[in-house]
Amino acid sequence: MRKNLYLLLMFLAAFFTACDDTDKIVDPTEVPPSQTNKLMILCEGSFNGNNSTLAYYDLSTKNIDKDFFNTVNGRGLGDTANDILKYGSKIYIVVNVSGSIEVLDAKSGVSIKNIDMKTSTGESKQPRYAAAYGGKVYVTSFDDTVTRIDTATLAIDGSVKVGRDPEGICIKNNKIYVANSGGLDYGTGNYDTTVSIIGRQNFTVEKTIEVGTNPYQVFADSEGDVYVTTRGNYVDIAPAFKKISPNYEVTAINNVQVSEFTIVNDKAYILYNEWGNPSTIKVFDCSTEKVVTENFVTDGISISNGYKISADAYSGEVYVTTSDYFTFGNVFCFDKTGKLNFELSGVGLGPNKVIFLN
Amino acid sequence: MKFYKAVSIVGISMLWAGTNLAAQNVADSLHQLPEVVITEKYDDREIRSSAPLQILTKQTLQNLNVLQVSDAVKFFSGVNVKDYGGIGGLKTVSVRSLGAAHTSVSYNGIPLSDAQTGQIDIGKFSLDNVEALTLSLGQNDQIFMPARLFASASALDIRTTLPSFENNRQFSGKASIKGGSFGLFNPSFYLAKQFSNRLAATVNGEWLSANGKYPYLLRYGNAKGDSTSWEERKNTDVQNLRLEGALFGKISEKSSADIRLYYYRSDRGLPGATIFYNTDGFSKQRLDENTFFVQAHYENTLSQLWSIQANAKYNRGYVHYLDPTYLGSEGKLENKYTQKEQYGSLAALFKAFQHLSFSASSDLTRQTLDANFYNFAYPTRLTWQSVVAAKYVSDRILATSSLLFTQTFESVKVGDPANNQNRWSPYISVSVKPFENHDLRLRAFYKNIFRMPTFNDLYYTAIGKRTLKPEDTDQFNLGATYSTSFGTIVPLLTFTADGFRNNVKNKIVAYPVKNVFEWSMMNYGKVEISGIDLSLETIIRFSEKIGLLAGSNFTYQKALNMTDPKSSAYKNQLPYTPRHSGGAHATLQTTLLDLSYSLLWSGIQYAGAQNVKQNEVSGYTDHSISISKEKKTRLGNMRLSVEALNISNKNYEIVRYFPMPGRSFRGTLSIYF
Repeated sequence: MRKNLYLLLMFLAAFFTACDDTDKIVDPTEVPPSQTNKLMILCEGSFNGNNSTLAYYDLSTKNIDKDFFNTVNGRGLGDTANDILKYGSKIYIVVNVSGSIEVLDAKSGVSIKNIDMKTSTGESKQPRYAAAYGGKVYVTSFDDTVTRIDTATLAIDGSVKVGRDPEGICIKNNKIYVANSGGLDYGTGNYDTTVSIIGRQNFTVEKTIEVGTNPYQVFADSEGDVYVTTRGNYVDIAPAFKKISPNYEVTAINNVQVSEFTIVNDKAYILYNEWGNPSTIKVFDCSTEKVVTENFVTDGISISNGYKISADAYSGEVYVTTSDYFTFGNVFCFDKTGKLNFELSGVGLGPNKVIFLN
Repeated sequence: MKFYKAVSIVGISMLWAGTNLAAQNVADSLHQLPEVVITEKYDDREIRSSAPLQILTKQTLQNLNVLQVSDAVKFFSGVNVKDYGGIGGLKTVSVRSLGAAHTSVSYNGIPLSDAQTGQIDIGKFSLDNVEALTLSLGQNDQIFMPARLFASASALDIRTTLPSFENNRQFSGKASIKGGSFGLFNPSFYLAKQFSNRLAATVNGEWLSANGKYPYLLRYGNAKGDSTSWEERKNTDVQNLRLEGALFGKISEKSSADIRLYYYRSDRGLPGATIFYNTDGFSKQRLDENTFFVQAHYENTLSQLWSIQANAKYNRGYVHYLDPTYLGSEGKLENKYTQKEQYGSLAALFKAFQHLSFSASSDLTRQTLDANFYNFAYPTRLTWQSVVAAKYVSDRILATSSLLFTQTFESVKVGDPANNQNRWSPYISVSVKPFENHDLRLRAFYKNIFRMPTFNDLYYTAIGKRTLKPEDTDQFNLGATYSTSFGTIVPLLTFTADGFRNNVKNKIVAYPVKNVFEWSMMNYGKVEISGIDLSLETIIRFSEKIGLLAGSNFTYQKALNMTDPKSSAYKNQLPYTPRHSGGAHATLQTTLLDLSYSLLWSGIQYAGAQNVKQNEVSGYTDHSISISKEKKTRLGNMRLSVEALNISNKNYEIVRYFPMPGRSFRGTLSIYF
């Protein structure tokens, strides 16, 4: 009961952005409006293929429109849609190679605006990931910036320089955490090693902390700990999973291999994949800071080419997507006990995120 | 169905040409149709060959509305040219779906090489001084040649003009200028000089520049009614310079030698894919290239029984790629590659019996690659290839067989070298003429050959894998050729039909190991290809002064991905491999002018591994016409031609989101002296 009330408050917080200055978690995956009735699944497509798609699945009728965005808008999303989030009444889709953010009306899927994310010389800024809070959407881009978009005017109203080639972003305690990968300097092996911490109100970088080679995803728990993955240099520096405490101490969490993770209700759902082997899903409890479930999947389902992981905070359902980069990937939905609820096959090329709509 | 359509288009064009004849049937005493036109236009090597052999001679090339070698190669059957569009766009040739790395491209009999990528950009080669283009599938019937020419699944040879002198003159040449759409400006010259009975030299050069800009329609969806916008193809400028020189010597009655120098430099934009909502920003990359090679050939007919030849080559290739918009910390991405090759070959031919001859040849190739990559391996590959071959020729039977041995030695400056490889590669072919009085030949060949992993496959930073095995192919071909004539009206009608079955094993593909950032090359793929190639060529002589040359070809290819039965791409058609494709051409020769028509068409193909609607790339037809006239003037023979290309202004793509140009025009003025 208390939990539901808490969730309701969270929901209201997201809607009434006037009272946004709470330090509650507002990561969009953690704000379940209510029971999920519909899913949107973003598929990134292939580089230079202009084939990013958005699938729309109705859980009650079991109807799926695999190219929903095109159906509604009569055009494609563009090239390499990297991230999607729902915030308020709108959906924001970050399209990396096209250099745009597609803003949709969450109910109808109709595009309200295509926000141009270009550099001063006209190339794509290569936007990557987004997080929202307090009436703003914050987007990391490979031109080493975080762009701030006002959700009322849908105009860019600020930009701040961070580390190199920022990837993951999350917001906690009025701080914006940005994982600087330096991934575009792979040619020299000179990856970035830091997380930038931006004050939300003054929108300037307040701190840059060392976390390890090639930071990738960041997510916060309710206690203000921020979890970060580093991908290493693919040669002699191994990937790692680390925790940044509220006073910015970095500690390694040993013996957990992470390809992708997400945090929902203070549980980190961790996907690990290696080619040729079945993918594994672990559950890490952010309060006790221990792996509580070594094998989340309890009914013997084997997942190959596990790609990304999303979780529904309301129901505790976990969605795992698969991709071999060549053929359309699948989406597996597991209930909170790790039993397969359903599988959507051939959803699109590179399904990378599931969002939940009521 | 499409084949009939293609044939009927040729038919219609013939009719159309026919109705115009009356109007143009004005005698021009200066312009004679030479009697020998037939043998010049159609080489009977094509129908005698025991494995499919296709030749485009200079005369045919003139009528095909083609500028680059890549344009012409599209008229061969069984061929897929992956064309990224425009003059400067990359163009590679795959034969019978085996992949571009299995096609060797040679220049005057010595292979061009690219150990780095394994494929040759045939868009770089001009047709200006080309005498003939020859495509041999499997192997051609010559056995007296370097071992390396036995070592590919199919071979494209570009043969340039040999010096010839008429009427005891000691000098001949050609000057030509081309211009047209896309700001094309293309002057060239060719000079041949005879110093004595024993020594002649040629020099020729060419400049080509173009801004390459053209409009195209960008479609934002596959469905009818989806948004579209007209855009302009940008960053398409090209500047090419080609200089060649050659010395031809007759050392004695029995021996001859030649030495050729080739220099090419190119500076061009690399227009990227047409990205939705980012058409301007995504094409600022540049490529400049520098190629120099010198090659020498020596041949001696020692006796009636024995002949020998020697070949040598030195090649240096430099490629500089620049992406000035790259968002890494340097603000640009710049790659520089230098490849060097030293090559030597010895071959001997032994005509043991009247019908039976044997040959042996042995080649040594040394290839190196330098690149400005962090932690780069700097590989060197030494390849030793040796072959023994036999050939039997009689009036009714032609058979060849060979066995090639390859041994490679890899070494690197940094890290571990890749595995050395050794292989035996067999080939056998036979052609039989069952009836004395009918020019019908049945033919068959089998070839097992491989391609080495390229330096990129093995050593590319992070992705390359040094334990890769070669990619193997098996080819089976069964076919028939038929040639006939009907009086003086139809002096030539030939038909070829071949069915084939190819297998590719250990196909080298890039595969993600853990995530999108970690890929590795693997011997993972398996492909099965079955298909049919058909071709028809004819000459019709309506009167002394009016003739028609026409031909068409058709290819059906079922090229299936057999890699993983669990994959949804299993048994799907390979990407960029149309099931149906073909071409046709017709030239009406009159005393006043020559009129030519050419057609290329392709059925749908897929841009991705899965044969789903989202991956479909529509088929296309591309019609071109030209008018040309030759006239004797005081300066020499003058030839003027005006071409209209893609006359229906069809917006199409061969590679998805790399649009081909719409309607365009080209004019050429040449003087032969």
